[in-house]
Amino acid sequence: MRFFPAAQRWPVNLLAFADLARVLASTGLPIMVHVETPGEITALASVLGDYPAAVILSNVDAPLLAEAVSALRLFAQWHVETSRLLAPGNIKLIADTVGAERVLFGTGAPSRPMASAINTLRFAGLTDRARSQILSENALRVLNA
Amino acid sequence: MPIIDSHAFLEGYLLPGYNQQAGQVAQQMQARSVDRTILISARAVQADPISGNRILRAMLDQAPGLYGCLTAHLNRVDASLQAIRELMSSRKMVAIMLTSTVPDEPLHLLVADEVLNACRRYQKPIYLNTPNAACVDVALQLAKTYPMHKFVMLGMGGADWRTAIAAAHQSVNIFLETSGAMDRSKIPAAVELLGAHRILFGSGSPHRDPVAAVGLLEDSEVSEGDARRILHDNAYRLFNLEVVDEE
Repeated sequence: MRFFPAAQRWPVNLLAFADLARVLASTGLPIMVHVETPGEITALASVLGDYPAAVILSNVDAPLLAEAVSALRLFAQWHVETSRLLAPGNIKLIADTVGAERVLFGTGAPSRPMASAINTLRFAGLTDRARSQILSENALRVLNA
Repeated sequence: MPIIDSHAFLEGYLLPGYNQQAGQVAQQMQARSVDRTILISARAVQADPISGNRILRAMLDQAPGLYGCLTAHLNRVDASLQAIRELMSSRKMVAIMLTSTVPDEPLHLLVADEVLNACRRYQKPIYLNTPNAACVDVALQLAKTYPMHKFVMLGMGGADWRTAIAAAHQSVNIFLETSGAMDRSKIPAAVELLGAHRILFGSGSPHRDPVAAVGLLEDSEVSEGDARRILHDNAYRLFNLEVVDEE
């Protein structure tokens, strides 16, 4: 299930969202949340901190990087996708800090260019093993594909 | 295909080891096949136009392919005018950027007038931050008021890139720089309305990896000739780099 709180103008700690998350918890479905502003990930912790399946933070960019890393340190089920991590060192920082197994490759296609995400990952300074995890292995595991 | 990155920063990045000095910039350029980079001093943008621009100028001689864009800060007009007088006669300083305390807000026209008048004698392109439509509107006013200057809209309007393209359509002395919104539609739209000759490749490095910025062009489905103009030829001509490199 994918959620877009900012685009739909609701706060991530909305009680209705917490209710929905409780229902989804019984299904074991991964949840992806599109975050945009500092503080959203922190607020999300109160709702999804104990979610039993994977939580994927989407749209994380450089200004949200520190907050995302802190969240991934706290919650073993949380992951981040790479579509907005287009600055040098960002992906490697996450991989080195919490492990490449917590990073999923994302592009933001079709509006955003796929080549940008691929090029950035190629130049991220990762090992072949880490790149392979990010490009496919992690998604296959997390999404039960 | 040769690449000129017309928009990158010296210093000012959160992570250590990126663009802190000329050697790091050169190393990144070499790894990513970027031939030339025009650097802006983040220190001059955020703190001190005099020391920031001086440090930038000194760095330009430490590695090949580096050029400078002087930052004129509209909240530090006297210091900016001093930096312009001191540094802009250098051929390696190929452009001047006007900025203010809050880059997302439009420049104040009256203050910009004073700096632009001081820039006239150097005949070098003027960079303006255009992260939104309000900044594009002011940039267009300046472009119409100062037809003798060529203006580069950094970020080509951000999410409001359609407004930036429309502004460039109204004033032939406006160039669009491609950092800003990562929207696959914007470069083809700009090429369709303006032609490729007034579009410059820029990354905003190190805040965006140059290879990510190149990826936007790769996925934009422009012709190889237009891609070459955007990646290299337009900047080479606009910044007069043939003459600069002869020095």
